[in-house]
Parts: sequence; C-alpha cells; structure tokens
Amino acid sequence: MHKEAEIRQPLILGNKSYKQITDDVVAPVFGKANKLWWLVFGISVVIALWGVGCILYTIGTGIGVWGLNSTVGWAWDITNFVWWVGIGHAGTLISAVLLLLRQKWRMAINRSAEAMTIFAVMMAGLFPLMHMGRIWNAHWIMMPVALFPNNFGSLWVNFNSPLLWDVFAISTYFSVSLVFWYIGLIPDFATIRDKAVKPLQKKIYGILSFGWTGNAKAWIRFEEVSLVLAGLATPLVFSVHSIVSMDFATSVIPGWHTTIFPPYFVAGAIFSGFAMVQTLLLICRKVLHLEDYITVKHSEYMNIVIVITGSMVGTAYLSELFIAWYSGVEYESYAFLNRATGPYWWAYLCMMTCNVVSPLLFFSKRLRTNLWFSFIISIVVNIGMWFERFVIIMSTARDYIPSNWDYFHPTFVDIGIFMGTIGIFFVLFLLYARTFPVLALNELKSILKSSGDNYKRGDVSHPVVPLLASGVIASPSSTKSTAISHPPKTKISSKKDDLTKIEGIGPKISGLLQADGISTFEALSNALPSKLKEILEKAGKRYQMHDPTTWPRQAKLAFENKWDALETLQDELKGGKH
Amino acid sequence: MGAHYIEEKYTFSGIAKTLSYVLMLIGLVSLVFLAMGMMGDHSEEAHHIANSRFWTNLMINGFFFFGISLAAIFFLSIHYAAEVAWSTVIKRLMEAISAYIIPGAIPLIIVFIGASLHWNHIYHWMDPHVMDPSSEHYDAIIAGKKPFLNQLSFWGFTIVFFIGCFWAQKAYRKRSIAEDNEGGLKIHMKNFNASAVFLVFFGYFLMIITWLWIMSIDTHWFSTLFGWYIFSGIWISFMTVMTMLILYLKRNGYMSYVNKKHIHDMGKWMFGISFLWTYLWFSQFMLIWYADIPEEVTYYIPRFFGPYKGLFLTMVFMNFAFPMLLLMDSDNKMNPFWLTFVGIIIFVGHWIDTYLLITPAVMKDHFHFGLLEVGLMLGFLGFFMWFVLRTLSKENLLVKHNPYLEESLHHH
Amino acid sequence: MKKIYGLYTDDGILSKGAQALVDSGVHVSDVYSPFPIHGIENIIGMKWTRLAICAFIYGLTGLLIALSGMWWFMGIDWPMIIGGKPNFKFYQNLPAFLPIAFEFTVLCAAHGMAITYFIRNWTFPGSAPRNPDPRTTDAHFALEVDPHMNHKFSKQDIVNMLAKTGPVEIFEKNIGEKAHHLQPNAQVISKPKQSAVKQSAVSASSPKTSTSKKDDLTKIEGIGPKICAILHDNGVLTFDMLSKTSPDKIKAFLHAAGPRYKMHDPGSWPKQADLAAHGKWDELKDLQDKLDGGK
Repeated sequence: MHKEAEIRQPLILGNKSYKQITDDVVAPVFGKANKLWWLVFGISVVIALWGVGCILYTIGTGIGVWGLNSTVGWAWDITNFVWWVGIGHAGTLISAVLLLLRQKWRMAINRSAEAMTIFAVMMAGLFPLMHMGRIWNAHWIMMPVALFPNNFGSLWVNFNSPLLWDVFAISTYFSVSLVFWYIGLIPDFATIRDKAVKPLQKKIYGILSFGWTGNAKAWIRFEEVSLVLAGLATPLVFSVHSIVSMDFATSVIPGWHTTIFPPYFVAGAIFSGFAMVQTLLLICRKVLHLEDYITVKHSEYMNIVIVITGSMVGTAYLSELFIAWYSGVEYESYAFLNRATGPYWWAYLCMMTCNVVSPLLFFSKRLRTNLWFSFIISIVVNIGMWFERFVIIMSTARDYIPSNWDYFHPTFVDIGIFMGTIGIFFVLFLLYARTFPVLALNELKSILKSSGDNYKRGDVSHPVVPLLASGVIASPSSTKSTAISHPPKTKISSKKDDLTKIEGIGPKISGLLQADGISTFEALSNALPSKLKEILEKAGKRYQMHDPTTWPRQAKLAFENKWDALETLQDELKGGKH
Repeated sequence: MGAHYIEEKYTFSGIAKTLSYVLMLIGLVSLVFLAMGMMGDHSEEAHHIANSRFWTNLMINGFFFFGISLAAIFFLSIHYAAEVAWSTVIKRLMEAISAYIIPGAIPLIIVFIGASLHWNHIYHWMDPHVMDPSSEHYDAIIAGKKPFLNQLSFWGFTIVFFIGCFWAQKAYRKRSIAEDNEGGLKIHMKNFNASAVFLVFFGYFLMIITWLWIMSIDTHWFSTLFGWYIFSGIWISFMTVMTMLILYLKRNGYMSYVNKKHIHDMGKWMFGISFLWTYLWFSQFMLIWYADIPEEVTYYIPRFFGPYKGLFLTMVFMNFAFPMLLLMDSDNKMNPFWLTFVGIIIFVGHWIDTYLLITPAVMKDHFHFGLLEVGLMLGFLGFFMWFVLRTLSKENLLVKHNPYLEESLHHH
Repeated sequence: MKKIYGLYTDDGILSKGAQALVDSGVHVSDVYSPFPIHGIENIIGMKWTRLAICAFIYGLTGLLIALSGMWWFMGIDWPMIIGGKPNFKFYQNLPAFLPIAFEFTVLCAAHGMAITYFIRNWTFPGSAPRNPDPRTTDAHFALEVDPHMNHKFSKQDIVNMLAKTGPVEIFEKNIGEKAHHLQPNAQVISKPKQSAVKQSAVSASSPKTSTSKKDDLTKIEGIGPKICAILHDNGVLTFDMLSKTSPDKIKAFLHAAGPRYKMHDPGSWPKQADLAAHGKWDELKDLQDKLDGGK
C-alpha cells in the first residue's frame, strides 16, 4: 500500500467507504435539482439566449455590426477567443501535468476541470468562426481548398500562417481533450449504469458507458491510455497557447512581437484557467454538497498554483516593459508607454492590479484558505486576464500613421455575444453537473486508502474478513445475516466479558454494547459491524467516528483465548486499519 | 512502527578522488596554456584574441557550473514549497551540489572584476568610449542603455543575487542538519517558508542577472525570453548531474533505499526538462526567424551562418533529439546505461550551449574550439566533483526526521 | 460451463486472496473492480499492454504525413511566397512547418491510440456490459475462476479455497444469466468451541482483580489496551501515577510509541485518573459522558 506522509492533510473528509463515495457523487444524477441550481440555471439560460440572438444577428447581417474599425480590425472577438482558450488550459493541465507529477489532489477536480476545458474551447471556437463572416464556408480552412474546387484550381491554405497553425492547434486540443475526458468518464458512466433503476436512465448510461466491464486487462489498458494521453497532452497544452500567442508574436507589430509571448501566454492561460476552475468548483461544492471531496485544502492548492503562475505572468509583464526600453527601439518603447498612459490606461491599470497584485494576497495562509476570498479573487483574476488580452490587442489602435489612430467602442452586439458565451458556458456546465459524475469516481476510490480522512486517522478496516473468520458467510438473503447479528439471549445473561480489551472499545462503548445485549466476546464476535455501527450511531453523534469493523475479529480471538494472536492483530491494526 | 534511520556515509576516496585530482591538473595545465597565449610579443590583434579566449573560457565554465548549483538551490526550493516527497531520499545530494555555489561564484567574480578593471572585454558596454558622445567609438544605442548597463547596477544586482543565493543555500543546509539532530516539524516548516520567499526572489532576480551577465555580452541584442531560456538550460544541466551522481553512488553500493521508481522520476525529469528547454529554444528562435527584424536576427547570424554553425546545429540536435528518442521509452528512463549515455550527451550539449551564449559575441569570427577549451572544462568538472563529493561525505547520505521521509522511502 | 466468482468488498483482501489462490495452483482468469488495483496483473499473471507502442507508431505516421504533405502543398503543388518566406526549399522553411507537424503528430497518436483502445477492449456505444455483478462498478470486487482452466480441482474445491480468502459471496454464472450462489463445505469454516467460553471469562477478569501495583488504565475513556501497555512501559502503572502525569508528558510517550498514536489527545486523562484513583466512579462516569473520546 502507498505510504503517505503523516503531515499531509486528508483529501477526502468524513467517514467514507468506496460505496459512500459512489453514493455521494452519483446523488446529483439520480436526485432532483435544488432551488439554487434552478436559479443559476435560469439566469444562465436568459443570458445565453441573449447571446444566441446576437450571434444570429451577426451572422445574418455581417460583422459590420461589431465595433471594429480600420486600425482595430481584430478587437473584441480575438480578446474573447484568447480569453476562452486560456481558460480551457487548466483542465488538461490538471489531468495531464498533475497526473505526471502525481499530485493526488487533482483527483477531485480533474473531471470538472476537463469539462470546463471542453466547454471553454467550444466558446472560444465561436469567435473566429463568426469573424469569418461567411460561416457556411468555414470548412475551407480545415480542408484544403483542392477538395472544394474553385476558380484557382488546386489552391491550398497557407501552412506558414500562424492562423492556420491555430486552426490545427485548437482542433487538436479540443478533440484530444474530449477523448481524454471521455475515456476517463466511461468507467464512471458504467457505475451510474449499474446503479440506475429507471429503464431510460439505465439505457442512456448503458450507451454512454460503452459496455465497460472493469476487468483487469481493461484497467491495464485504461491506465496506459491515460498515461500516454497525459504525456501527449502535456506538450499539447504548451503548444496550443504558444501557437495562440504566435498569432501575435510572429508579426512585426510593436507590443506584439516579443519572444517571451509563448511561455508567458501559457503561464497566463494556466493562471486564468485555474481561477475559473476555482470559481466553478466552489459553486459546485456548495450546490452539489461535495464539501468532503472538494476541501479547503484543494482550494488552497489551486490558490498556490494561481500565485505561482500569477508571479510568472508578473515577471513577464515587467520584463516586457523593461526590454521595450532596453531595446532602444522607439516604436517598441512607445507601444508600452501608450499601454500604460495612453487612452487605454484604465485597462492597463486593471490588468496590473487584478493579475499581479491581487494574487500576491494569497501569500497569506489565512486568505488562501478562506473560501469566500478565494472565490472573489478567482473572479478578479479572470477579469484581469480578459483585460490583459484587451490591452495587448489594443496596441494596434495606434499604428504607424497617427491620422489613423482611433478608439474602440464595442457595440451592444459585441457585448451581447461575449456575455452570451458566458451564459452558454454556464448552461453547459450546469447541465453537466446534473448528468455526469462530477468527480472521477475510479480515481477517488484509488486514493481513499492513502488520503481518506478516516484511513489517515486509522479508524477503518476491511468490513468483511471477520464474517468468514468468525464462521459466517454472508449470504445474499438478508434474513440470515440479521439472524446472526442477534446472538441467542440465553448466553448473554450468563456472563460478562471486559470488552475494553478490544482495541477501540473504551468503558463508554463497552457500556453501550452491553446495554444492547452484547456483553461477551462471543456475542461481539458474532455481531455484524453494520449492527455495531448502528448501535454506536444510535448512542449519539460523538460515537459516529468509531469504526467497529475489526471488533468482531478481535473479539473472536479474545473469545478463543488467543491473547497473543490478539495482541499481534492489535499491533497490526492502526486503531483498526490494516 | 519505527522510522527508518539509515546511517550511511559516503567516503570520498579511490578512483573518484584520483580522477578529480587528475581532472583538476588537466584544467590547471589548460589554464596555464591559455594564460601563456596572452604573453609573448604578438601583434595587438593576436594578443586581443588570446586575452578574449582566456577570459571567455573562464566565464563559460564559471557560469556553467555555477548554474548547476544555482539550479540545485532552485530545485531544493521546489522540493520544499511543493511538498514533494519522493525526492526526500536524495535531498542530501541536492544539498551537496548546491553547496558548490560559493566556490562556484569565485571564477565569476574574478571575470567580473577583470571586466570592470578592463583586463578583459567580455562586456563591450564597460568600455567608457562606447558611452562617450565625443568618442569615435560612441554607440548611441548602447549609450541609451546606460541607466541599466553601468558598473553600479551590475555590481549591485550581482551582489544582491549572490547574497540571496548564499543565504538560501546556507539556510537549507543548516536546517537540514539541525533536523537530523533534533527532529520536529518546526525546522521543516521554516524551510518551507524560506523556499517560498526564495522562489519569488529567484524568479525576479534570475531574469535581471541573465540580462546583465549574459545578454549584455551581445550588447545590442535583446530578447524577452532570454532569462527563462537560460533558466531551463541550468535546470536540465542540474537534473543530469544529479542523475549521474545517484547512479554513481548506487553503482558503488550506496543508497540501497533509492529504488527504480526514484531513478525513473529522475529520468522523467531529464526527459521533461529537455523538452522544456527545446520548447523555449524554439520559441525564441522561431519568432526571431519568422519576424526577421534586423535588430533581432543579429544574434543568430554568426551562430547560423558564421563559424559557429556546425557547433550550433550539433548542440540543438544533441539537446533535443537524444533525450527525446532515447528516453521516450519508460524502461530506458530507469536504465542506468541509457541514462548515463543520454546524460553525458546532455551535459556536453548544454556546456556547448553555454559556450555559444558567450563566445560568438566576444570572439567574433575568431572561432577557437580546441583542446584547451575542453581541458579547462575538465578542470572545472574535476573541481566541481571534488567539492561536491567532499561535501557529500560530511553528512549522512539519508536525512533523518523529515516528515516526508517515510513516504519517500516507500515511493512507488 | 459457468465461471465461479468470489465477491469481495476490499481490494486488499482480493489481492491477498488472489495471491493465495495462485499459490495453491488455481488459475485466476480475471478480476473485476471499480478502480484499477495496482499490481494485480502480476499476481494473476497478466501481460502489460503494448498500447504505448501503437501510439508511437501512429504519432510517427502523423508526423510523416504532415511534413510530406506540407512539403508537397507548399513547394510542389502550388508554390507560394508569402511575406518573403522562401517556401520552395523545404528545410529553409522548416521552422514554420514544425507547429502543424507537431499538432498533427499528437492528433494522430492520441486518436489512433483511443480507437485502438476501444477495439482492443471491444467496447462501443451500446455494447452490453460483461461484468459478473453490477456491484463491481461500485464498491465490490470480483475474482473470476474458470473451472475449465482448473481441471486439477473440482468445483467444490475451488469454492472451498475461495471461501478461505474472505469473500462476501461466492456464485457461479454465465455473463448475461442469473447467478447461482454456492456454499463451501462445512469443515472449511472454523466453528468457535464452546469450551473456550469459560477460559476467556477467567482471563478477561484478571486485570480487574489485579490489586498489585498496576491499575487497568483502560477504564479511562480514550485509553485502550495498547495505550495502557505503553503507559505501563513508561512507568505509569496506577491511576494515581497517571493523574500526576502532565498531558504533555503523556503525549511525548505516545509520540515515541509511533505516529499512529499521535492523534490521541491525553488532555483529560490525568483528570479522569484522579477520579479513578479516589474511587469516584460515578463522577468519572459523568465526566466521561461529557467528554468526546477522551478529549
């Protein structure tokens, strides 16, 4: 078994068993949505509809309805595109990079983070598509024009262009993330399939789960595929946002052409992505009651990633600024001076405050473990990251010809589309939260023994060994097992044993058991752990943390007078754990 | 459940010791020959070239090995800050490598003093004529950088950086030994807090330091990515040296508790950081190549078209293709032979990278790459080996009382 | 013929059980679990997959297609000069081709491997599940023994051997059919002997009667037999002694005894012991009622 340092905090709280994890996670799928969910969903749908209206209006009328002008030919849409793509990075990062780095805390958040990736990249993809104007010809960029004959004959798209690189990068990223996400989902869909009672639900999850069986070979393949996909996705995460940055950096436009762009965009993407994961998971945690799985420690870890990537973004801002001066290139220097003091100074100020200053507050342990504060900062960071892209893109508002200089005003369509994508994103995410297993069940179960709170405390053992050892095979008929849990009354009256000999039983619990008729080692050895648990739970809240699973086994040894064996067993047990 | 306290000390003797002395001797001889090149009655140009050759070699090796120990401090900080467990069993090795930072700074300080006193011309901007408008050598662009490129800021940043690094190294080492003797979580938490502070310091200062020490050698040229590029280079060099040290110790029967999985992790880091380095190299190169702006491409012209072309392309190939192809397979990442083979290639490859960072700007077209360059490198390597292994032999090879020790010993 | 399944509730028990079966010569054909059990493939002798090699081959194919495609599109079929970049020579333009070459490599490797994965598992949308019991995707673990592969043993032998490994259920079934439950022979299960009752009663009462120096410290809420032994080892023998030992000191004893005792909080023990030492059992009981696990 994996040995985990004592100093590590548990990642799964409460008294969980494998079964309990399943039940907690699938609860939203089988249960009814609560009011809070309907409220957030309703608001999201309204915003989404507004956005869809604006999108249809744009497609029907043309992109003239946007606020673009001759110098700012690439404004709102590319800002939103880069923002959404950036947000999409955290999911794959969590599932791929953290998998390779063996960070166990990723297990509780990777599923939702990946879902967020998928939805965010979908939102991102909308913008370049719309900007094409004639969206019905969109396939021309994906497929060589040679396949769709035109006047020029066999004309190919330009493979030297970063914009085409981007098409390849985003579509590869989207499809690979989708596959990665789905392969991980299959075993958990199978769990829902096998738990579902309603025929329709069973059928749907049956189709979704691809007939997953969970045999040893399938798991071997599953693990290998996950590992290789993680290995492939890691450079992919880096490449995608690097290529997005190359849309700007390969040009010769001051403020855009700078070599730090690729890694700095990647750091910024992780930064904003983690902030969005933080926002969504803190909502998820509350709405779906997942406090035991998405703990404060998880939130703290994410905040630490936010500080690190925020600092990287900070050093990149400063080095850009410095090198612009150091280079001695006037245009470069002016571009940066203009950012800070020109007409968009407010956007620059907003970017600097939100991205560089606000995450630094997380250096305080008290603040980074405060969930409300984390929630607020996560939103602030994403506002800042939107402005970062806006600031970069507005460099072109002042080009080489001063008579062209202009100020960009978004129209109501611009704003509507952007807000609309946020609405659509939340609609998708909320639907996902109600129909998908939002935590990776199979992965959570695999860390329960090393990172579960109860296992770390040493309050748990295997619930079944004692039954066979004490001469009982639990049969599927419930009558038989209940019969065993009530030992014959005649024996109880005869004598009482000192039950405190059993590790885990003190005088109080001993009293409780005796009150319930279990006063001898023999009686205890024949009792079912579930029955004991029931007794403890009846007795009050404070007894709930006790786990009686090993007591029958211990009692059996005591009953048989095998005191040496009992002591060895107690040595082995960590208060009940193997 | 008793904690595993394994008392095991490394004894520095035998072949390793002899080898380090032999290498140091080779280095000393090379240094003498390089210095002798400057004497005698040559033409002024020949004298200038010999002078530059002497000092650039000192700078290359000084920085390369200093960088390895700097990256050791960085990795140690990551180890603390990210609550990493697996590397606890090899913490002492990281400490030993990081201890080199103090003797490793000496060659650099000598070079910097030499530059300030105009004994050498590594830093073109230190020439007062360049900044003087009345001089015929006046260079308006360099003069524009005067607020940053001047003796005061150079020495100021350098000294602060040295102090910061020395402090971190001393602090980690002192507390690590204290933890062995006293135990308790407090000492570990102190290191945890120190690491967070150091990482911030390191993040900002390394950028400035790489601009001052290395980027300013190509005085006109600039690249925002430069600091991160240098950083990835020293990191991979350190990971390689670390892996080789582990393999050496295991080969000699030490550290039986370091299992295949620890080695595998080192292999993965070597593989991963090689990719990171290649990614950063490509990002910088491709963007400059693509935009083709004259101010920027000056850097790559001597390296791509000049006498350095062969070395430059070989270096990129060595540092990317070998780790990528040979360490892709997970069995190879645990195989001592392949790790050593790729390790040597990476080590040499990154030494060449350091050579190419500094030499083309100082030596211009006077390309010299001969026995003396290799000899001096071996000399530094010998001194590095001697110092690191000697430091390693002073303390127990395995730390005690570390909260993550158990987890690290059971790493799988 | 039907296959025999043992159903477990713990992966550790299953692994040990599988090892025991394999050691006694039983061929275990498969294991069904809700999450991957590490190391099970070595126990039941299953080969590791070669999917990674497939991924490498797919990736290489993708790389070659992308590079040769761009060489042909940009240099041969419709040569273009855009932005002064010389496209005619493939190697001169290589840096601009690398991003797409990389993306296409990853695309082919990832999707190729995913498709191979589904084919090798033979799982497609709507396939019927083949796990022996629906609980194996939740919290149960099944071990499959095929009597066909174990001619050495009779069915009842296999059931008996399985029963010893600690399953909750043993049954046989064909996939898709109803399970039939099996019971091991009676002698497999050790019945507790009646004669032991007296002995246990005697020995159990012995600590109570020990009037010598040692008190039964387990009377204190929070102290079990193990901790009692630790305290005795450290010279804290009686209630009186315990009442005069500071919680910090007790904590130090517990720490020294190993990390698993760290979680115990001895804060209230001296107070409880004080009451016990003075025979104030009723007050002790009241105090214990108020306390939560000795804290």
